[in-house]
Amino acid sequence: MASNELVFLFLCKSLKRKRLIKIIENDFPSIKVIDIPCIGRFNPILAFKMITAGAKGVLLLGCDPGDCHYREGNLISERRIAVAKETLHAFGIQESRLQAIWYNPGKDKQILHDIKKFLLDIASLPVINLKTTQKKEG
Amino acid sequence: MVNWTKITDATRHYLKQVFQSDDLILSYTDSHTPGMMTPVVIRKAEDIDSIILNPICTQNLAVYLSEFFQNDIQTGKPVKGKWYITVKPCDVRSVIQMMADEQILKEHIELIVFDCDGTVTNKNLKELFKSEIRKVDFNDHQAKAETLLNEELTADLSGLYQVKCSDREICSIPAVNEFTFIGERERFEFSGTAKNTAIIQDTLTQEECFEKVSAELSKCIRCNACRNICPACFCSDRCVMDKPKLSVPYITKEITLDQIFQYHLIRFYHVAPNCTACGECERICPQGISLSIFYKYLHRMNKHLFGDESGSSDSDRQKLLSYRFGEDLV
Ligand code: SF4
Ligand code: SF4
Repeated sequence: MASNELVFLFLCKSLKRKRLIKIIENDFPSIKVIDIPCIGRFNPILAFKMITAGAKGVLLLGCDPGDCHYREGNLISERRIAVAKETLHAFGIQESRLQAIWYNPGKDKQILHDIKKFLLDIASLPVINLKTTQKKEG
Repeated sequence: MVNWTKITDATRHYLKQVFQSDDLILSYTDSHTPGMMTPVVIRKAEDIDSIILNPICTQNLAVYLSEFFQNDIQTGKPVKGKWYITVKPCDVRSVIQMMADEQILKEHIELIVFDCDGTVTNKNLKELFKSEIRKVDFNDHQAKAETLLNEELTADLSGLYQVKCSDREICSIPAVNEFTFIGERERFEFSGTAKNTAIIQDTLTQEECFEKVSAELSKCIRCNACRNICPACFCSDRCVMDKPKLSVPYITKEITLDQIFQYHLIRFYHVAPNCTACGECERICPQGISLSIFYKYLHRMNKHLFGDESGSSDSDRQKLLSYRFGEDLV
C-alpha cells in the first residue's frame, strides 16, 4: 500500500502500548497512530469525516471487553461502532473501512497480525475523496 | 372509511369534557394557506372549536412537545396541568420515543389518537388540483375543492397518500398503556393505493447505492430543515452542526459534497436509536431529496440491532449513551 493512502489507528493511551506504537510507526508508514484516553471516548463522526475526506480506513484498538480502565468504555463503544458501520453501509460506503479490535496491552503479536489483516481487507477499496468531487448544480 | 367531520366533532367533544384551566392542547387548525393545516396551541376552552382534523394534517406535532418542555425547564417554570396532544397513529411512536429519551415528562402527556386513512402533503394536493384553491373539504378518500374562480372540483386521494401510510410497519399504534382513541375502526386497514416501500440498500449494489446517495445529496443546500423538524433530533441549542468552531471541527458550514455527506452521516448516526420513520424530514425538504432512503433503513436497523422498534415502549432505551453489565451488546 502506498504511504499516501492513509489509515488511522486510534488506540487507548496506556504506558504499555508505547513499544507497540513505535513498531507500528516503523513498519506501517501508511498508518497514522492517534492515542486517546479510552476507546469509549471515540466519536464515530470523526471516522465518517476521515473516510469521506480520503482516508482508506479507520481502525480502533481497545482493551478486552470487561477490562476497560473506565469499566464500560469499550462496551459502549462496541455498540456505537455497530451503529456507525450500519451508517456507512446505508450510504453505500464499505463497512470494512471501520473496524475495531480488542486486545489488552502486551498482546503485540496478535495486534500486529490483526492490523495486517485489516490493511489487506481494505487494500482493494478505492479512496473516497468527496473534498475534490465537485457538487453538481441541481 | 373515515368520516372526518365526525372525527373532528368527537375530538372537540372529548376535549371540552376533560379540559381544565392550566391544561394545554396541541392540535391542528386551518392556516391562511388553503390546502395546508397549521399546528395550534390551545390554552382556553373556548378555542377548542377551532380544532380541525383531516387528511392534510401532515405535521408531526411531537416535535413541539420537547421544545415546550425545554423552554419550561430552562426558565425554571414548573410544568402545570395536563398536555393533550392529538396525534395520528404514526406519530404516537414519536411521542413514546421522546418519553423514553426523557425529553418530555410522561405524567403530563395525554395522547389522543385519531383515526386516519393516510395523509396528503401540501405539494401533492397542489399538483392534484392544478389551479389555485380557496377551500377544500374532505370525506373519506374524496376531496372537494373550491377554486379562486368559484369552480367546484372533486378528486380522489387514494393514490396520493404518503409512502409511510401504506407501510403497515410504520402506520400502526404501538402497544402503549394509555391513550384515547377517536374513531370507529377497530383494526387498521389501509384502503388507498399501496406504494413501493422497498429499501434501496437491499435492492442496489454498494456502488449503485453510493451513486444514488451522492446524486440525491448533491441537491442538498444545508438548510437544516430536516434537522429542525425531526422529533428524534432534540439537542436544540447544543447541536454539533451549529458549532463549526469546536477544537475538533467535526463539520463546517460549507455546502460542499463532503460537508453535506458529513451532515447526513452525523444525522443518521445521531438519530439512529430514535428514528421512528415518521418521514417528516422527507416532507419538509425544500429540495425534494428522498430522505426515505435513510430513514427506512434506519427503522429496520433499529429493530435488528436493539431488538425492539423505536417508539414501542416508553422505558429507557438510550442505547448509545448507557450500558449496564450483562446487557446484550447490540
Ligand atoms: S423519519 Fe426523519 S424526521 Fe422522522 S424521526 Fe426519522 S430522521 Fe427524524
Ligand atoms: S431539508 Fe433537504 S436541503 Fe435542507 S438540509 Fe435537509 S436534506 Fe438538505
